[in-house]
Amino acid sequence: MLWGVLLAVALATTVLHRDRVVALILTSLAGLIIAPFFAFHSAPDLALTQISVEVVTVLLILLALHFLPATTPDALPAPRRLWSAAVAGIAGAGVGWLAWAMMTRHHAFPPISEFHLAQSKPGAGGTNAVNTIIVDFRGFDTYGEIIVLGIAALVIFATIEAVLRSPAAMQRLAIRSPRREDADRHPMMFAVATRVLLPMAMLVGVFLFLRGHNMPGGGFVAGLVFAIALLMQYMASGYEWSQKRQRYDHHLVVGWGILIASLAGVGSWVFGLPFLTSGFVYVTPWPLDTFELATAAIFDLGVFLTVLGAVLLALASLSRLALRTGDAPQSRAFDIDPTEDR
Amino acid sequence: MNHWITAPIILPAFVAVLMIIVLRGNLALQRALAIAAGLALNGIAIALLWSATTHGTEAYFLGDWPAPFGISLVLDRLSALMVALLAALSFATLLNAIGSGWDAKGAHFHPLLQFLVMGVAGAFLTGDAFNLFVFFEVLLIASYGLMVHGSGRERTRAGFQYVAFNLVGSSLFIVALGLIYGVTGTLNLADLAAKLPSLPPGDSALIRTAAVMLILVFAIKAALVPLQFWLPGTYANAPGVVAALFAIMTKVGAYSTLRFGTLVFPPDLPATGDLLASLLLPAALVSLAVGAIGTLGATTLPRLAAFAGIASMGLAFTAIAAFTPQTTAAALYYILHSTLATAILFLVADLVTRRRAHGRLDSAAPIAQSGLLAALFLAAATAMAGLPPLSGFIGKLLILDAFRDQAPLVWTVILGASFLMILGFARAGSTLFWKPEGAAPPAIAEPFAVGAAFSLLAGLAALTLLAGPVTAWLADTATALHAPAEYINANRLGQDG
Amino acid sequence: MEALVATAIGTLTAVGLYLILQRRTFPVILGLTFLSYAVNVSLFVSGRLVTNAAPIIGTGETFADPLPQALVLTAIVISFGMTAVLMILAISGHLQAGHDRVNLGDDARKDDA
Repeated sequence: MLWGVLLAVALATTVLHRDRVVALILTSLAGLIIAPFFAFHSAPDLALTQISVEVVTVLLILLALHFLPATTPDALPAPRRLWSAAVAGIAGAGVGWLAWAMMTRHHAFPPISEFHLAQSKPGAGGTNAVNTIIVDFRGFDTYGEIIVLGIAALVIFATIEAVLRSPAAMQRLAIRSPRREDADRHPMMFAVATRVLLPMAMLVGVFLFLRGHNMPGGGFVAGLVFAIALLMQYMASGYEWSQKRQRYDHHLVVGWGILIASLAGVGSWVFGLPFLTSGFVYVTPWPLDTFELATAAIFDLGVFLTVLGAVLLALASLSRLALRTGDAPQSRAFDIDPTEDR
Repeated sequence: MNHWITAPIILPAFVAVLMIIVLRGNLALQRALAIAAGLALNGIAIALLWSATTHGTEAYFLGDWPAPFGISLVLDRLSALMVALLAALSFATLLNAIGSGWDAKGAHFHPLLQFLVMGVAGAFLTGDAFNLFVFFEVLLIASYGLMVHGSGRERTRAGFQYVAFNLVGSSLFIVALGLIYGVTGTLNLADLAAKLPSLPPGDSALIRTAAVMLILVFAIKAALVPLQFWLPGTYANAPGVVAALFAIMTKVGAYSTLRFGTLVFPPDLPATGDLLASLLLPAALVSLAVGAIGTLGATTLPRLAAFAGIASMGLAFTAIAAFTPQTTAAALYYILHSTLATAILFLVADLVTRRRAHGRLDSAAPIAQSGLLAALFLAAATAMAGLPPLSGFIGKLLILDAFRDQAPLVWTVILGASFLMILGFARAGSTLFWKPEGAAPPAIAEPFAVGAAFSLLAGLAALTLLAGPVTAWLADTATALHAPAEYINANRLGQDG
Repeated sequence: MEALVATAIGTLTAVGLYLILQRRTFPVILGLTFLSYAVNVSLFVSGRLVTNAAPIIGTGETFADPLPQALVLTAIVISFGMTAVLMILAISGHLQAGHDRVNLGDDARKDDA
């Protein structure tokens, strides 16, 4: 039963957390178990988002672990740990009990989502009620959310900038050597596989973006899938190689994303309507079938670009750090040169 | 359709985006744009204030969806007042940052500042609980960036702790929101206010829990005991100008408490009753005491300012916790005063610290321009400690007056705390400015930086001189807060479009 | 089913808080991740547990509550941004200070310059 696995994984993390890579794997396992939980309980969009956010988070943390110690040093003394466990246990029990109490009662008043379900197709033009809430009914929440992502990207960039200018930090970085002596740092099969997957993954991203209004998908998931595809290139072929081939400034992607979303919101002012009002129209260009053009798609495009840019900016900042470690830089796509005679 | 209500949120967003896309790397142009935007924001804030006073409470329905199904922005006297406060404070700290060169010490200072203003404005203007959470996150993450601006070993570590602690607070917020929606089925503040009085008694336990959780979240933001311990470490390690800006962030906690405590969970609600007041008053008094003692025992100037800030929030919350129109009006006056006063104190601390290379309160060496700085410090200390003739005295008097009937405990704590703070400031001032002997080092000319502090001081003076009209206006505001029918009606619940 | 979910939420919260109290940057980050799983699930279940009723109009008669799903989506993405920032701060702090201890209280007294 998945529930048992989840609990086992979570508790194992508390015991085993001192080996950081293991702890990370256990954490991501817990996250991956939650995704089918969402899917089972009628939340396909959530499951998609949980999986993709999980993947990006784990990748970023793995890359970041490069710069941190591989194990947590001394454990806290036993009384301290017991006290922590007691506090945590009580808090957890409290939250769990609250959740149970809430789940076993009915809403006291009719929930406002009845309106959202009823108006999703007629008022917002999409059949995916979750997506219409995100980009239309409660689009302002999403606007704030992409601003958060944009700010995160800026903060990450600024922090890494500051580290790169600190002599003490650079010194500590330079003496860092590769943790494990791998024979293959960039195995050829891995590199080739990710390279082939790249256009397909991008296509999946575009597909998810376009269908988001009516089926599970949408700007976030699309942006994350796109970003994962590009992230894989970094993993496969290393920082230097990938950096050379990404010659545009990620700040621009983030900035344009927020700008497009803002303009989509402001556009409705022209019609005398409040900020972020969206409209839609049905077109039937011959020989295609009727489909819908919604201004919410412009907003979703802004979301897509911001998510993509933020993840890539974070990654680019990490790679700038990585290029300064004691590792020998790798300028080839993979470890061996297939054109040489072996 | 009056779109100007969205301006405090949308304008900074556009400005920040412009800076990222077009002006990256051009600090001079960013500064110019930031100043222009700051001036524009102040103008808009004044216009909104006038509109709220003359036209009453107005709601703006984002996406053209009726409340409670969409998100609404609500402009009433309180939110207009807080936006105006934000505009004034952010402009003064902007000038200080430019004048002292702080904005050049790291990347992206100006976009982050714009986003912080956007987040705080959104928190003040929104009429939806989850939207409040989103804007809390916006302002928090912008503050994380500003906090570690300029880097430095201790700053980054303090920054990590600040972020981690606030993330736990955000998690608490999400649980509370889940409870609220799970029980009532709505997230709109006016809708909650309309529906909660008829809540079935079986659900009131869950709502009480949610209310307490929300108060905890706001108490974290406002640095109320026992959740105040993040503030001294953070503010003492933040860049000085950023700490001054943070003065408005604790007020977000105060504003949210006031909004929820008068609108959603008023004292006459059967489900929660006196719960909020009974929790907040002891916490506020203890915060006042802790802050005052900390002021006396502070070893560095930034920590002095931080503890004084905690004390002033404690006093403000003492007045808020009583939830009557008279105490609320006093609280609002004091909030206006303490925001400006705390900011000035942090700016002075910053000016002093940079002229000595450390903030320790000792008499090691004379400070450059000590006459000027001493005058500023005296003014800031007078304001914070609540001595006449500045507005702190008036504010304190108003609060004491409002608590006349509960004389013993509240009066004792307030007066005792004031005494300790006066001692603390006097000690710091004489150590820094009177005792050092010897030739002062050459003056560092920072007209904008010092000018910014003086402009805030001018604001305090205005608050004092205009105390009559201001308190009358605030009394009307407080009365409106405690009679939330106008707010609820402005949202036009139960109508479509 | 509700009991299972509730105990899962409780366990995740407890694990998250325990890790946060370990006071080193990396366990704190993992702990916050667990905590965010827990609160996201608790926000999600405010729409009650419904199976086989995805809120896609046209695919059924009854639907699950779409609003908590939208809220959780927003919360997941916001937490992701925060986690990324936190991670970078951990690296930056470690490189600049040489250690990764975290004090959850006011430690400035020891660090006054």
